[in-house]
Parts: sequence; structure tokens; C-alpha cells
Amino acid sequence: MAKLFGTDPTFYPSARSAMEAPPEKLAYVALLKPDAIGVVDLDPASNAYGQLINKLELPEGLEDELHHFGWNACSSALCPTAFHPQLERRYLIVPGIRSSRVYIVDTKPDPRNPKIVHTIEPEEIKRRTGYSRLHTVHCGPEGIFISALGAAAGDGGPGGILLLDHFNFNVLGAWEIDRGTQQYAYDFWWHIAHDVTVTSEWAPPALFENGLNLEALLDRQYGHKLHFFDSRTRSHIAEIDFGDQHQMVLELRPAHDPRKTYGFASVVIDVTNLASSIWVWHRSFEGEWKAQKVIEIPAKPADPDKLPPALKGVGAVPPLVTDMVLSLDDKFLYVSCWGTGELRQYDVSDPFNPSLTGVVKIGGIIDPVPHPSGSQITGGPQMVELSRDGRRVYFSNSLYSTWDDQFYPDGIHGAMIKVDVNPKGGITIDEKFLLQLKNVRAHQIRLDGGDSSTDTFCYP
Amino acid sequence: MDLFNYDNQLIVASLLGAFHGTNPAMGWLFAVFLAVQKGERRVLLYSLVPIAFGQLLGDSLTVGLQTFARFQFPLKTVHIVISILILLYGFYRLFRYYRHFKWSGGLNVGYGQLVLWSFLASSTHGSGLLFAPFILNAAEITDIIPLWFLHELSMLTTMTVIAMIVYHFGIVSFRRFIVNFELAWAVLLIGVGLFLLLMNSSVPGHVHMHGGELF
Repeated sequence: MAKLFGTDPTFYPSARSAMEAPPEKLAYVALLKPDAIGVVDLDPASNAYGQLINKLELPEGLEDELHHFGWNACSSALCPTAFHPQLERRYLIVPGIRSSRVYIVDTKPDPRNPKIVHTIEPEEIKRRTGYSRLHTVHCGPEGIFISALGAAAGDGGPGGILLLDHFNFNVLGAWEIDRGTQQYAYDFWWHIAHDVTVTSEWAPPALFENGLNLEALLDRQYGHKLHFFDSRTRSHIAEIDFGDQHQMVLELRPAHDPRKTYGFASVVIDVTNLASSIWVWHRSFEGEWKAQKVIEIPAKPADPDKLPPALKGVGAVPPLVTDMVLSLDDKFLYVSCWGTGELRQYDVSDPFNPSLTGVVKIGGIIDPVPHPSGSQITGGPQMVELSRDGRRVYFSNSLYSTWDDQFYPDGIHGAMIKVDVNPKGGITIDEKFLLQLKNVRAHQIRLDGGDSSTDTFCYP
Repeated sequence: MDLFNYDNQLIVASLLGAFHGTNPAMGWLFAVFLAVQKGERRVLLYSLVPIAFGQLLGDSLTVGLQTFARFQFPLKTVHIVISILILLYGFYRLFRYYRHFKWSGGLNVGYGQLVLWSFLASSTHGSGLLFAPFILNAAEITDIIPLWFLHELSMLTTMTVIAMIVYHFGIVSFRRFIVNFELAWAVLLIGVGLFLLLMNSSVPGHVHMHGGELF
């Protein structure tokens, strides 16, 4: 039945207004081996608080490899030229990164008991878009945008962005009209009010599906650039090369304030010193896109005997920054160091001069730090998500199946951990909250009603 | 209410204008967006001018075509054709009211692009179609002009007032009051189409009301 009055109450015109949203009551978590969407109770008043209360098993079980996922619609439906008051935040768009299949999961009428209502088969994605290996999902204006890491055939590129219709989930095709120099893909987001889309580079599937290829890494074959597209003409307008020692430019977190034209990009590893780094891109006064390194997190020297085979030769643990999230007020940036087992909080009020305001240590490749409750944790902080009010961080501990096996050869048991945020700066792990999943891995976490990495806001 | 009374027609024409002006997808929301980006209230007023002008162009196209047909071809035929067109378009919109034209001009627009956007928004809505009863009922072209003028004035006034209120109090408070205008619009189109068809078949003196110039 068509909605007659009002918009979806979880849509907010601005990030500022979304911070006033009620706290989350549920989380949806991507689970692996076998693949499923887990439902976690986050309502502190509930008896099942912090527990996995449901598991939607996916029919293909093992071949999909769930990774990232997102909502069909969000606050971008309030944008003036793409005003869609009829849309509701209801369906989870869940791609398999390995299979290229997409599940459309309905979270209504019972959000605790989601159901698959539609499946887009890999053949259709490949035939209609020329892409495969689906990654980031964004609910954009006029459609659902999904990044794809590889071309339809084989295990090479180019990767790019594809579009789904947000009413009937038809596959509309590849987004780009002129990709320019862009070949590798990974994350993307936009400066919506400035009509600019930013994309990052991991690598073609040949370089990641079977694990990290150390030779190729030392040969600097992974991505090291940012790309900028004009969202109107869908054409490449600029690239920024971080220099080829900066391998794997992954997460992109543009300022939520649509008036701003800066954002943060993370680099997994500098092959000269194993450090991870965070860069700020920005548009200069003259209108040129520029970037500079603002954070460098060094590797930690370690006894080679304790290191997994992949790291024995280097004698150090790289921080392996593989995810981050920016609070809705653009004040705090949370950075997960999956290798060294740290979650860091930076005050980025001045994006060019971040200051470290908090660190929690848990897990890690060597000498893993246990959870404050005493439980041993495998893996390290990885997929990180932040509540809209900026008060609670949730993270999980695995990266990508074949890479998990290289860096944590003893295996990873899924965990979801909660961190409490001091609004003035500072973070602590909530010792009462720990979801552990034996022999199942956990990846992206999405909060009901939205979180700090789903919605795009058109109004400041 | 006697819809053949000219004064009443003036009222209806202004009400339709106000209905148009209230729809966020037709302009005021874009004006608010541009004003909050710049943080200046005057941008709101500056951008409503091209938006209203674009609407005017969109309306003129549909109104002009209908007026031309009205005075150029046999009235009875024109009446039936227009009624059926409105009805068909109404049903088309009823089933896809939630869709709108895809704008590829972005959000960072200049005033010229605003005119184009607004023209497309208004003409793809078929906004001038609701003017058909007035056109078909008019004896002279000059009867249409005041109606049309009032319609546009009422639209612009409504749009400006709403835009200023929303700009002042913030969009958050208005999310609950957004009516499903697109569905209402489709229903209105169907209503007007049916009304015109009925008017055509049930009023024996129909032709006389339009004046005797055809005979």
C-alpha cells in the first residue's frame, strides 16, 4: 500500500539531524562459513541484549562469501532532484563478493526475522553490467549503487560501479560513461552537493581472491590511486596517485556535511616500511583535487618465530588499516588496525591535523590481547561501525577468507565487540558486551535505521 | 459550485496553482537546498524566480497546445481527445506515480539549469493538463489569460511561503507533513479526465456554453 503521509522516519535531511535519531535496537551482521545474515539484539532493555537472535541462512551456503552490504534507500531520498518520499529503508542489499550474486533481504514486517525476497543471479549482473565481484553498496539518489572489483569474464579488470533500480531491483547497467584512467576499483562515495564521485583502488580479483600475493605487493602491483568522477556526466575528471609504495587505497570517508569537499582515504601498506596511512583529499581553492598524508601508523617489530609465514621475512607486524568510519558530525575518525589489534579514535575537527584521542587494544597477529571480560579474541578489529549519535562503536574481527588464513593461520572465530565513546574524546571497550561465534566469521555490521556509513545527506 | 461561473473558475485555477506550489518535487525543496548550501536566505528567493519561470514555460507549452487545438479544430473532437489523453496520462501516473524524470544536471546548478529542471519537472508532470476544463469552456482566448495568470501567481506565492517557512524551521520538522503529492496528482488527473468526459456527454447545451462561433 502506498504511503500517503510523511517520509520514512529514518531519513534525515542532514547528518546533524540524524545524530538526534533514537539509538539502534538491532544489528545485521554478515556471517561467513556458511554464509548468513545474523541479527543481533542491541536493545539494552532486552533479555537477549548482545546475543545473536536470528540467522538468515543463504541458500548457496559457501560460494557467495558475504562481505559488505547496505540498504535499498536512505536519507538521499530527500535530495531535491531525486525526491522519493515513497521509498523506505526496508531491504538489505547483500552481495556475495566471490559469487557476484545479490540477495534482496526484506527486514519488514519483522525486523528480527528478515527474509530473502529476491535474488539477482551472477549471470545477470555480469551480462547487464560487464562487472563481477560486488563490494560496497550505497543507497544513492535515483538508485542503488554497488562497486564491483572485476570484469564479468576472467579475473581481471576493469572494475567499476553498477546501478540497480531502487523500486524493482532491476539491474540497470554499469554507471560509468567515461572511466578515463580508472581500472581498479574498491570503495566509492560522493560529495553529493558538488556532483563529484570518488573511487578507490584495491586490485583485480587475480590479486586478491587467492590471498595476498606478496610478490605482486613488493612489485607494487596493487592500487595506489584515487579517482574523481563528475557525477552528472559519469566521466573521469581527475586522479591522485599516492605513489606506488602506498599499496591498496581502500576506504573512502568523505565529510558528511555536503558543503565540504574533503574526505579521508586509507592505505593498507607502505611497502617501504609496512606502515598504514590515512590521507585527506580536498578540492583546492583553484578547484583542483589534491591529497596529503595526515596519519601514518608504523609497523611493530616482532620476533619472526611468532609471525605467520607471510610475515616471517619482514620481522614486523604491519598495522593493516582496513576499515574506518567517520562520525556524523565529521569530528571523530575511527580506524581499525587489523594486524596490530587496535581501534584508534582521531579527532579530525581539523582534517589536516588529526590528533589521536583514544586507543583500545584487542586481538592482533602476535600476543593477542583478550577482551576485558577475559575471553580470548582471534583476529583483530576490522569492520567498524558507529551509531548515528556517535556514542557506540561496534566492530567485527575478520577481513576476507583467504587473507584471514594468511595473517591468522590458526583461524578466526567471529566476534562482535562494542566500544563506548566519550563525546569529548576517548574510547573504552564495553566489557559486558561480547558476541562470539565459534567457527563462524563475522564481517560488515549494519545498524537498523542507519549508521554512520550508510546515509548520504543533501542538506548541511 | 457552478463550475461554469467565471468567478468560481478563478478560484479553482488559483487552488490548482497552490496545489502545484505545495509539491516539494516541483521547486520549493530545490530552492531550500540551494539556500542552505550557501547559508543565505536571499538565495532562496533568487532561485525561486528561475524555478517559477521554468514552471511557467512547462505550463505554457501544454496550455498553449490545448488552446491552439481548442480554437483550431471542432470543439467536440478536441474535447473528447483531450479528456481521453488526460485520463490515460492519469492512469499511467497512477501506476508509476513514484517515478519521476531522471535529472542528470546535478545539484550544483546555475540559474539557467534551474529553469531547465523546473521546465522538465512541470512538463513531465503534465501540469498544464488540469487547465483543460477552463480552455474547453472558454469562449475567447482572452478568458484563459486571467485564469492562467492567477494560477501561476498562486503557485509562486505558495512556493515562496512554504520555502521560507521550511528554510526558517528546518526540513526535519516537515518530513511528517509531506503528502504523497504524486499519487494525489494522478488521482486528480483521472478525476479531471472523467469530469470532462461526463461534461461532454451529459450536458446537452454543451456547444452553446462554449459560444456559438462554431456554428
